[in-house]
Amino acid sequence: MSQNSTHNSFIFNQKFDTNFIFSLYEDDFSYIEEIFGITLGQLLPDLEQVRTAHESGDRENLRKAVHKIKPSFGFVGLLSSQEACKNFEGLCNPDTPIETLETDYKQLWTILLDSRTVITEEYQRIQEFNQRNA
Amino acid sequence: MNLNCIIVEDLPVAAEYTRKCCEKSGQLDIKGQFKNVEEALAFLNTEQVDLISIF
Repeated sequence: MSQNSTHNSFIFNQKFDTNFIFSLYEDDFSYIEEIFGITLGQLLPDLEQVRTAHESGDRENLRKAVHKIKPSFGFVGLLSSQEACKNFEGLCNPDTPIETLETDYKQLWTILLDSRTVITEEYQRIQEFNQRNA
Repeated sequence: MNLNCIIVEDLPVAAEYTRKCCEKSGQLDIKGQFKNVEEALAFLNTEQVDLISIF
């Protein structure tokens, strides 16, 4: 696994912006664990909203669902995923038929699922780190 | 003397972050945390606060 920064011996996956995480939470790893846990809990229903909105073919609901899920990635320092959501939102304007968004949606959906996986893995690692340092 | 505040936020992680920031400031006492304006207004019908954090 590639790594981009260390802090108190914990090394985040390179997909996470470590400096951004520490700018929010400093080195409070109990708090970071809590934030990751809350985020994961919210991701499941939010992902379901995105999927449902896409299946219903309602572009505005899809935009709203992506808008809603977006900030969760920021709070865990997954800024590339947050940016991907922002970009997709920008494509969902009133003049755009939802059919033309299909390729972009599939790319976004892949990013969202990968993000959930990487957040889950990092959450487990943070839990283990905190248990070792308890 | 600390300011009494409430947090209105529907995103749980954002609400938690705001709550922690308020606590760390040492100058804010959180009197309530609500998911929407309606819940907050119901609280404010009976309670007074100095500050409302709303997104």
